[in-house]
Amino acid sequence: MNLPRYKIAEGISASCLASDKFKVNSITLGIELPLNIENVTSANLLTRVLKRGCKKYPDIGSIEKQLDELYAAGLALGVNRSGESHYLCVYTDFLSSLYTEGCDIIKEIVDMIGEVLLNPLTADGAFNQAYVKSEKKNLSDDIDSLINNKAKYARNRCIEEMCKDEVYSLSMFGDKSILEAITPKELCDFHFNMLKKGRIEILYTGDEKFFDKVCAELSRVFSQLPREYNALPCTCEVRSSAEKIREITEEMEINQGKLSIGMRTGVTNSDSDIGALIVANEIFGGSPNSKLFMNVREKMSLCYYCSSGLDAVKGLMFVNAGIESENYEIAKNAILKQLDAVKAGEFTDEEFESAVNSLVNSYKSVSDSVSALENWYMPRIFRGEQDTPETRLKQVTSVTKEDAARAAKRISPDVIFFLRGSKKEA
Amino acid sequence: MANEKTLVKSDYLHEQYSVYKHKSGLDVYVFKKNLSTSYALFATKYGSLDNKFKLAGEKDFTCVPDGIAHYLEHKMFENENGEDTFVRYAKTGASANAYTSNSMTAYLFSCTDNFYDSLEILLDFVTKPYFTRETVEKEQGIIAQEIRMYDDNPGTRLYYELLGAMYQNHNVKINIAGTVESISEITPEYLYMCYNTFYNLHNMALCVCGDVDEDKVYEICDKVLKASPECEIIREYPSEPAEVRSRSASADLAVSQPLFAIGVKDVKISKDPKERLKKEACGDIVCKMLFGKTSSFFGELYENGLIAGDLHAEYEHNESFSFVSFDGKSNDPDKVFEAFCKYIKQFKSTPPARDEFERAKRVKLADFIGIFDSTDEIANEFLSFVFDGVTIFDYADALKAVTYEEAIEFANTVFNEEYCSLAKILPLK
Repeated sequence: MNLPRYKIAEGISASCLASDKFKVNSITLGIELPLNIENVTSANLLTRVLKRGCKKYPDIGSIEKQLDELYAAGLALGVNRSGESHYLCVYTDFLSSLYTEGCDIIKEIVDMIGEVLLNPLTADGAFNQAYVKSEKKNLSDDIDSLINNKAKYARNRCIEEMCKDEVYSLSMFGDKSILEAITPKELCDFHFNMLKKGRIEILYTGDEKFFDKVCAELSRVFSQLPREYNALPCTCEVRSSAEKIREITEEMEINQGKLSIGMRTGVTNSDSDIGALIVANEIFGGSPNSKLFMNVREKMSLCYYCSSGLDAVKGLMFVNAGIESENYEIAKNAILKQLDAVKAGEFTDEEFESAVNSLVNSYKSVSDSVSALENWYMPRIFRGEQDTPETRLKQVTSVTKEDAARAAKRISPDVIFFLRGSKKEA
Repeated sequence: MANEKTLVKSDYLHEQYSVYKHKSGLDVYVFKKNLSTSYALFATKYGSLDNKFKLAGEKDFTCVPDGIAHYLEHKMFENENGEDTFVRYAKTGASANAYTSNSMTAYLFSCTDNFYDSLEILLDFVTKPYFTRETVEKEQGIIAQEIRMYDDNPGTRLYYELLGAMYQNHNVKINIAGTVESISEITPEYLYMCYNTFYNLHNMALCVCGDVDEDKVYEICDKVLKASPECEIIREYPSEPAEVRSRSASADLAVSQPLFAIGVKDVKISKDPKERLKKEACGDIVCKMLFGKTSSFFGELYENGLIAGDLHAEYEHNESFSFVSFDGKSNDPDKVFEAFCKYIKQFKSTPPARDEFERAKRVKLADFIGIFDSTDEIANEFLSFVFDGVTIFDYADALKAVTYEEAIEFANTVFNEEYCSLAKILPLK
């Protein structure tokens, strides 16, 4: 992975994903933070308060008006996680200069990032009181609203139970009691401390001929930033297997029960089995040709969706399905039976080849979407990993059936979480 | 010759496509894009609304159960030799899917290799129906789970609560997938009847987008497609009065905070596709201008803590129904509705300034340009415009042509307090 790269300041670098085929380009900035619940909560609140207003654009209306003027440019702030690493991100996207009628769009976008991130509304070393107060309320409501999406809720609960004593299970949005106690002064300190100490990675996706320009603009805006950069160790706790299967059931007044099974694989991106595990997952539940889709859905008519996915940073696998609550035992056993079949190498050449073909297709597609490119590269830049969609494709195509079955044997179910519907009829 | 291809260009978008009338009756559109992924969309102008229809010359209308277009979409994936269509695609590596909307059923795939093999599979399975009592029954469990999944989805429930409040008769208020009861009436006979009516190639279109060779696409069409007889389908939709069915509607669900949607029904729908397109462009700009984050309405609601996130505003404009809606989360939906009614009166006396209109228009144009980075978005937008009787490039022209006066006129005519409904999803007590 040899992306063009430029050092802007101590611990601040910009990388370029060169592509001249997009009409909409992007600059994404990530700031690394140690993963703990205080930081998660503060970072979430911070993203909301920063988007409320800054010195130059003091309210949402004026920030948005400027973005609209810049040909509907997007500027979003969010908190992101990869494995057990945690980032505050600023995402921007903007039209290529082909459509911006002479506007110096790159300069304007970098200026916007600078205004919103580096020049927030402060008085006496604290953020605007009213903004902090109302965003605390909004974030608190958002934490509560995690129950609205039942499938996600079940998956989060599965992770919480499975990784109870690992930071991986920390809520994505933060903790309400910690949130309650944050003052505008503390949040302001958190912000400037993060800007001073955090590692900052910036990723530009667009025509390579403008990368120098992007770097020059970023240098102009970020060079004044006081820095005391300390590199964080890049760690992620990986457990190779589950001690025993735990079944946990919760009830909610819903129509369809949500099943979420968390498993340990112990296989991460740097493991020599990673390609084989990815193929095994694809055979098991990664596509409409998979065992889960073909059997649990098509043959047994138990569900509309039933699929599996990997977290290759943490070494986990998840299976999610929406089922009739009374079918819990049947569905659970059917899913585990299909997993055993993959482990036993009970899949045809056809199943194996389709899995590889489908993966090849998805790796080759990455280069067609700005967001897919960013999702691939941004966490890898932070971790210093070299694999590209192309190298991954090579790994996957060199896997044999035996490799896939062997890798599958490393999967061990840990928590089976079931959100049972307590309502009989809609 | 009838089947010559025509090239259509847009200098503004820096894009082009070709149109070709295949001898089978199918319109074939090839949109060139220099991306790794190619995409094909084969669709019929047939959606959940088309529950009552006949062919020209037939005496009586046929009525079919709700949800049948969607059911048919699922069943098309089965083949006479017992092979599942997904298994056929697996050999090419294509990622395949299908969807059913109000007015269209579409089958699609995207791929980076073996495009023409996948295209052959697509054209083949969609033109070869095979339904038996057994396979039809087997699908009921799967679709029932799909319906029940959406029953728990607050966003979907909110949408249908709103449609149910706005519409007295029109079947847009009926869930695309139907109900667990209505789909239990579906038989192979019904499926064949719908298939034979709507999957006539004259009622269908193919859009291919990517780095593909047009002539090879036509060759595959020659190889797979048999000519369909000329046909004219007459669809009947229930007549709909201007008045809403009810001022408000609500459902209780396991949510943490109320969700609301406000809709404004519009029954003045032109028969002329170009007129409809013009109105759609106008409505899209007006939604951004009146409910976007730079609007005074959004600013006030947000500052007062009545809403927290965005207001998703949109103008839905179809051959048979049309409405403006916006939705969000609020601890007090009734107050939002009150504020909205006041806002309507206020902008009629003091309309938004000209520069707000210009900005909204600039945003809609920029958003539209963004579509052309993805073969998937291009093809899907492409055919929905085609089935509406216009083209994707016409929409950019329509947006550019909208004037401030037209936008204000649109807002003044469409926004009437008496044609508004409020829908709510409330937390369980």
